[in-house]
Amino acid sequence: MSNITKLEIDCGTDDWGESEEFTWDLFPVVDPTKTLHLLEDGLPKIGARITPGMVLVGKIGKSRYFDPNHEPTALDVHSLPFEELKSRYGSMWKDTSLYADTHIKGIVKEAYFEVSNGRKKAVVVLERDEDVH
Amino acid sequence: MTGAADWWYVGSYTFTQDSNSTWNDSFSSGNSNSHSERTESADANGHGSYDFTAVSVLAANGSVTTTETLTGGGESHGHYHLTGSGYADSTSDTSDGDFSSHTELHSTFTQTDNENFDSSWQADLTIVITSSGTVVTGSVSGSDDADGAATFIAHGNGVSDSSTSGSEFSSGSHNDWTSDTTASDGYDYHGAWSDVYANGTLTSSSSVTNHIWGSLTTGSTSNWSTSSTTLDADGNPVTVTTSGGDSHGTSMSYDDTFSTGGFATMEFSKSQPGSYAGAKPGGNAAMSEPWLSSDSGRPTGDESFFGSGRPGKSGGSSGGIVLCSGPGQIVGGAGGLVVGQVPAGQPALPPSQRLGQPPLWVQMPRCAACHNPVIMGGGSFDMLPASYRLAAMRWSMTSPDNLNGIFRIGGQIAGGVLVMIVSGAATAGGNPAGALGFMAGFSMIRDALADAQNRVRPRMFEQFFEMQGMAPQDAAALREAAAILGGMGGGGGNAGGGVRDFLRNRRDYWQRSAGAMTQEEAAAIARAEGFGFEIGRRGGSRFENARNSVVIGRDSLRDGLVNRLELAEEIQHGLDRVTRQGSRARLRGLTNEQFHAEVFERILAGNQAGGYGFLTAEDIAQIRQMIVELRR
Repeated sequence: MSNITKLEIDCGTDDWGESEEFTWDLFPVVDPTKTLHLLEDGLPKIGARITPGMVLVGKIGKSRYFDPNHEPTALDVHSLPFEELKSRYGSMWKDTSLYADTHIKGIVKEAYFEVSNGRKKAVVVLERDEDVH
Repeated sequence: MTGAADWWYVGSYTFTQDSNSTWNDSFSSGNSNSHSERTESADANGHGSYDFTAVSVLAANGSVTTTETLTGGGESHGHYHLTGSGYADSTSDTSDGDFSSHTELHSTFTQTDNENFDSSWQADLTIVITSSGTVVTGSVSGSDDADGAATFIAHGNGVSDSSTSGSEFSSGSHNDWTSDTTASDGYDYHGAWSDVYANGTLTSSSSVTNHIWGSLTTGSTSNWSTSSTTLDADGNPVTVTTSGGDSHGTSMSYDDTFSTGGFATMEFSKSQPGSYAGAKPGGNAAMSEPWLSSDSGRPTGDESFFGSGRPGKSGGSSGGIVLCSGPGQIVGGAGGLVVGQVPAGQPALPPSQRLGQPPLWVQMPRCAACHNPVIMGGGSFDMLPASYRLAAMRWSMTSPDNLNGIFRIGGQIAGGVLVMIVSGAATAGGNPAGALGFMAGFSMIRDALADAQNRVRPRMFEQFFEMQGMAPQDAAALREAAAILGGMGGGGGNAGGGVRDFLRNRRDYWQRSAGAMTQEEAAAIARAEGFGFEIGRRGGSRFENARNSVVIGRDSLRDGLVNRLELAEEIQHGLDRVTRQGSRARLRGLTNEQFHAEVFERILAGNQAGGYGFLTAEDIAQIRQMIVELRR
């Protein structure tokens, strides 16, 4: 029995009119331990086991509160716990990632980008795995 | 006797539904209306026929044998079609004094659904009836095919406006949005079944393949703007307008194929009274009692799970089923295993491994090399409970850090300690530390403060603090003087804007050193230190604990190459995790610039010890220059 689910997400624009960024790096909005299964370009690794609540495709953009003079310093990054960093600086970005809802789970079979009508979008193909809970 | 029959049916129906409604809301000014229409139509037809013959033979002994043959078959077909569409509209107007609003909502939808089905069957049976029973041979089989497709398209849009006005201000806002949904579903079903009769047995088989597929796409956009006008101190109107928008879209599709098949065989037989469908383990005689019995005290080997016999009346409880009762079934469990009991022959756990609170000093995991505390998973001392922090500081190798941290727990941060010392130095009245400060001279205090902020010699100031026993009111009264001294001492320890920009904008590394390497080369260097290497998003490089990787920001690359100085800094950040340099720097009250000056000093030290072999002499010179600038 095969059971294929295909999911897509467009690259939008952030509050500053700039293109959002596909990336694993959602710091300091999302705990980095939650994105270990993502590749550099935000796509999930082939074979990754997806369960509800996980990030399927990492994407982020600047919020209207972004201030280039108020970004976390290296001392902040290396001395503050993540929740403190998120509290201080998280509002400057918007996490626009694609998350797996309660019905989406399985093994990543394909993950790629394609351009449609001039817009970049990420495509993820999941195969249902009965062992994924 | 022979016979035949035929039948057929033809039918169809059409159903149309229109609805339209309008109402007014008396609570506030508003109205809405909706309209939808649906048309369903279906048709179906089928036919079938069968033939039969029956022959009865009377034998010489008086018995009668009747043989019937039955052949037949049929098929049916049908279609179903649905179309629907509609729209809903709503408007609302509200005004109350200085406030008014207007809201509109519109939505439309269309849907279609087409389905078809076909089925057929055929039979070829022979039935022989004798005085001893009935035997059927032959088969009956059939198949079903169905397919369908449905689509649903919805579009919604709306707008709202509001305005508020007062004597010295007015504001208005506008929002509009749209949403679109497109969904389609399809299925293709094929099923076949058959029953075969032979020699008193019936074999049924079936197989089904159902292919379903579909997609769902949603998209939404939202735009907003807010404008407000107020009067400034001169009575002139000042208008501020903000606006923005957002769009989001998702889509998904599915394509599943379900296949199943199998067979079931039913045997015609009669049960014999008194027999059991089972046998005693290891034997060939029917059991006279169930295999798991609660009958007491019979070590026959029948009743226990593991076959070694249940305990007898003298050896255990009666009336219960015992698991693992015999010797050798569980190691050390000569008489059974009791949860929580130390097995026979095994030593008791030492007290430190028993449940309960272990001694304070054994709770902190420490680095095997430097014996410093390690906070698993990253984080700072501040994250730890107070007792853990004390434990960590006690084990830390650098005593000034310990004292700083202990003062911090006591409510005095390192910066506050400095302020109080300097305040006390400026008191000049009965306070030994204050007198000492003035005796040393105003310039010495200023220089010491500047030096402390740039280089931080906490132990020196802590010794002052320990000596002088300063009264809190002295510190509060002279805090202003300390602020003045701080200002003269170099701007409160913050470096100039250029250095700050350097730390924030890593592209400045390229102005200091053009030394670069490919990402593959950088990854190999990081790997040699036990780290990963990854490219992060725009704006900022760092060392990422969760991934144990050097992360270079995408903006920091030049033509895809990695700057050597930046790579060295991030590797040092990774190496510094072991000794918690970031947390220590915060406890010591270091600024970001001071922290980085020490980072670069550790890079130089590492280079002198044979590390950082990828840095050139030019790079080393640039690092020395950066340290000077960061210390300035």
